[in-house]
Amino acid sequence: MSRIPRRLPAGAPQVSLSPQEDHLLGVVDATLSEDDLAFVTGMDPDEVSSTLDRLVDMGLVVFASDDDEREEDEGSAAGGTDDDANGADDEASPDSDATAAGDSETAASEEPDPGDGIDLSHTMREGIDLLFEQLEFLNHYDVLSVERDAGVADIRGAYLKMAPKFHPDRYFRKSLGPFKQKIEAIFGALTKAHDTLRNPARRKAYDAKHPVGKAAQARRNRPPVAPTPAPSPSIVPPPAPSVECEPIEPPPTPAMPSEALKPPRVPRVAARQSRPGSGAQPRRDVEASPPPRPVQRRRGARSRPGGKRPSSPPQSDEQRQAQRDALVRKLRRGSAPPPPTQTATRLAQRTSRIDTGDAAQNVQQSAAEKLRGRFSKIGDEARQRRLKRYLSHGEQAMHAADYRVAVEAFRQALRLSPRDTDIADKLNEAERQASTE
Amino acid sequence: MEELDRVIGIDLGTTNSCVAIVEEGVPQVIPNRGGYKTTPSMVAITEAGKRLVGHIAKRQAITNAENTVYTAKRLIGRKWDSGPVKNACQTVSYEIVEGPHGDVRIKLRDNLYSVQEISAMILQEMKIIAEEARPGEEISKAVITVPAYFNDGQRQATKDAGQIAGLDVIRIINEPTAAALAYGYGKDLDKLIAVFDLGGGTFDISILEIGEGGVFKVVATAGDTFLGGEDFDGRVIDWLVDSFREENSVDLREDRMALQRLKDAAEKAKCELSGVGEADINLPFIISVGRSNEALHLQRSITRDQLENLCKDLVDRCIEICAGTLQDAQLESSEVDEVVLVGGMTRMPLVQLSAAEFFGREPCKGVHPDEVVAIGAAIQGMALVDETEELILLDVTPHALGVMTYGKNFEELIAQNTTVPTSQTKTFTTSRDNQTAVKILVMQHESIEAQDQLLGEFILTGLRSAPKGQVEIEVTFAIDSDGIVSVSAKDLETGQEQSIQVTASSGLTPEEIEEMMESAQEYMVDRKHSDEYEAIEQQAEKLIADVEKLFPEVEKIVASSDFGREAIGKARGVLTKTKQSLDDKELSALKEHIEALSRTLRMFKGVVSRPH
Repeated sequence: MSRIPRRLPAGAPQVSLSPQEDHLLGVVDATLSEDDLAFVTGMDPDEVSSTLDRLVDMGLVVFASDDDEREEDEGSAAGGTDDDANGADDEASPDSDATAAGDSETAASEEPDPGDGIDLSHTMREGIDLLFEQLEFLNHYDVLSVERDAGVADIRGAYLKMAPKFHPDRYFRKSLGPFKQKIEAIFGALTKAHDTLRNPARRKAYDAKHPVGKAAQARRNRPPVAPTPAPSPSIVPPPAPSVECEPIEPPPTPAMPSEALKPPRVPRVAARQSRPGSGAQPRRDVEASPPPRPVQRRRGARSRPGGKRPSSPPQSDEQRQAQRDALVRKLRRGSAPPPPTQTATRLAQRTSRIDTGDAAQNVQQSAAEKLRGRFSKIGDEARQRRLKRYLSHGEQAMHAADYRVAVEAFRQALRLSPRDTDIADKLNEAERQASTE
Repeated sequence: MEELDRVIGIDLGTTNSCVAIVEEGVPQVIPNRGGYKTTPSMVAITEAGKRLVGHIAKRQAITNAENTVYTAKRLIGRKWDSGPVKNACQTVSYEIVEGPHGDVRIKLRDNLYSVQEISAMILQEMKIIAEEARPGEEISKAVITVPAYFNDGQRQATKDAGQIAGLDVIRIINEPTAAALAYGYGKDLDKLIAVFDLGGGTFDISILEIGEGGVFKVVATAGDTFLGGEDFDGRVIDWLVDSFREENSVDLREDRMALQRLKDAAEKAKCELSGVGEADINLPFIISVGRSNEALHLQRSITRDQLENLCKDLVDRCIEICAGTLQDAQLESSEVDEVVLVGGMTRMPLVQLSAAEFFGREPCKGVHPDEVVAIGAAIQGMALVDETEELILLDVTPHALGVMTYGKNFEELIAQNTTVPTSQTKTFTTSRDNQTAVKILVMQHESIEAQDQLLGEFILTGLRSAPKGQVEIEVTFAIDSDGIVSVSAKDLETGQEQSIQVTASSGLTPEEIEEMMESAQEYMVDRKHSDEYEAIEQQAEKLIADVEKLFPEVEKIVASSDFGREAIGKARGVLTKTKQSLDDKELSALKEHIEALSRTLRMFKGVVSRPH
């Protein structure tokens, strides 16, 4: 089985993680499935599963309901690296785009409804609440999850990615209760941030009013910081450390004249500046999703791909190569799932802009192609194996006159090979038998 | 998506309207009964009191000019004393009178109709077109488009028209935005586009950013609600009238019928000139003059160059608005990746050329200028009700909103082209000493017409008595995604708060709307009834003709037997009764007799086919 974990926004770690947990957590990015993770980290698939389960228990990771199309080769690779012997768990394995999308949607809608008549999933509510509460503590860059030096394209990309998620039309004629106002406030903040940062003059004025803190400056001199992850359906930055916040009532929307917000803002920034090296989550680090690089120094702050690496614990070359390949694969991907795309494109831009020259890009490209070829081959093989297994399973069940099992087996087989008329016939036959039973 | 949740998109145009629907992911225009994809936005009442809408109304416009309404869209949501209405009074062939709320009413035969009712008749027709194309399916939800530059009152009036027509108007969207949706739907584009929409009555320009995954963000929008094809026609009419007066010393404007004929001819010539270099205008017997009632004829030819000279400034005005819009958005025309031309007037070569010159690129030819808006509306409707649809539209408010402050100054809170939903807050102070109450006047600012319109007002009381400038009042404006404006004012000292939801008035009271809805429903019933009657009537007439044709022959064959004579007598009886109920227009009786008559016909046919 191959669930897709994503990280939950969280403040400073409450628990100490084992190196393995930490390592895995660093790679979780809301797009790599369990099997991908096993492949990328070189860990045993079972070990990945159990480690992830532990991280889930700690509240650091959830399994994403990733309802976006994944590339075929990835999907099959995901199913293929782990030759899962368990047919019943097939649901989570993205054998086809359609199934993956369908399954995840059901998963999302099956979340328990608290019965208050509000048509929002639990995850969505949490995401909205969290972001709304922090709205007033976030600067324009934080809100959009972009770097201080982000270019126009980055800002535009970030906005076009995030704004639709918080646009009330997404929930047209749904009962949203108090969330309507929150969603609108978040949307307003995103828009305001975008409109300000897109306009050179207004951005300059804003930057002058909100200078980059020393902490951020210091970080900038260090190896560039890669983004921390955010959950996939709702992009939510991690909470600002609450100790630093003055308990002031949030305004109805952040779109107030800047003067109104100025006084409370200054002390907060100062407080932040005074604690540069603390374990607190730096605000600037808020981004949509990380590259698959493990966190070693600090959770949330990881080094930029291809950049100078901080001292990291020993890693096998193979491991490192695998990770790089995984990253490359993402960068090269045309249409990535929504949350990571933003970062992926941004990373891609940044990578080419800052970190890599043409030569490096060529290496990346060929590596990506190699990797893709490998993935699809593994995927095909695994699919064939499973197809055979389902078919034989089905035949046996037919012999044993256990038609319902046979139907299920053939249905799975047909899903793997939708154009195979033989299987379709077998499925029909089994269904007929099952219904006459 | 459930069948019941289907949404139609309606482009309620100044001259033509169009309806579309998304069918299994494919947006398509629904043609009317005659097979046309657009229907003239015309309504007429015949001498017999019958309502005519669309082509049928247009066809009789010349002979019934005083009772045929066109370009009602130019009047919708406007006040009686506004300039545009005064203008229209002089140019249209139907009679416009003042309504009970300072609004506009149209006099047809002996009845007064609000503009909303007239628009509702057109919308109802569009609804019927959609329902006829899908028998058994009732369509109630609609997205209706309006010019981007329509103000709140005009939007509300359009919504009311939809309500009167029995439609649940789930959203009003801007025409150029709809065009952009239609252009970019399903293409996964990533570019900046300009939609240049020159329709029958209005000009709109919108700049949109289309992002991956179907995000459509309106960057800027502007326009002129009195710049469109009708104005081009007007130039040609003026030219014809002036030259006719020079020659014959007769003012054709005095004669409504002549004016209507001129209007048709001018429009036709204008359209022709988009394809050919010269067009003839031939209007024999245009007017009779003198004691001898001498008939005068109008005969002219007009070249494309002449037309372009007559209308050059109108096209220039469009380009001017484009330039201003780009400037406001801080964009260069070269940054625009694609120019989409919408509206029938963009078929004019001069318009195409000017747009191409201004933007420095060939306009996109991929969209159908008459249908694209309705299609976009249908797409937006589908995107709203279909949860699985990713497409989202980030629209802007086309007008600035603010409050009127001391000294009659407009203090802006929400700027033009602000993405909605949005909210803005500003702090104000008292303007007089010991002022204990403050009146908040909510205004809409129209930069092009350079006038402010009052949307609503309320009073915040209980302020502390203090010297002026000492009490602070915080005013918050919010616009939600349905375009509803709410305004609140808060006394920062006491925390006391007052707020209103600004509902733009379309000029009709809820009771009036209710009443109009009822009569619209009655019309629907009548119409269904009369449709049915017409069908039966035709059937009866055919049967009568068939039976009467066979009568002599059958009579000859069977006259020899008693039985035959009896049968003939019965047949004659049935025939008479059928004719009688036809005269009486009694539907149920007619139905009965038709059955008997068909039996008679069958028998007759049997008799004549038998060998004798």
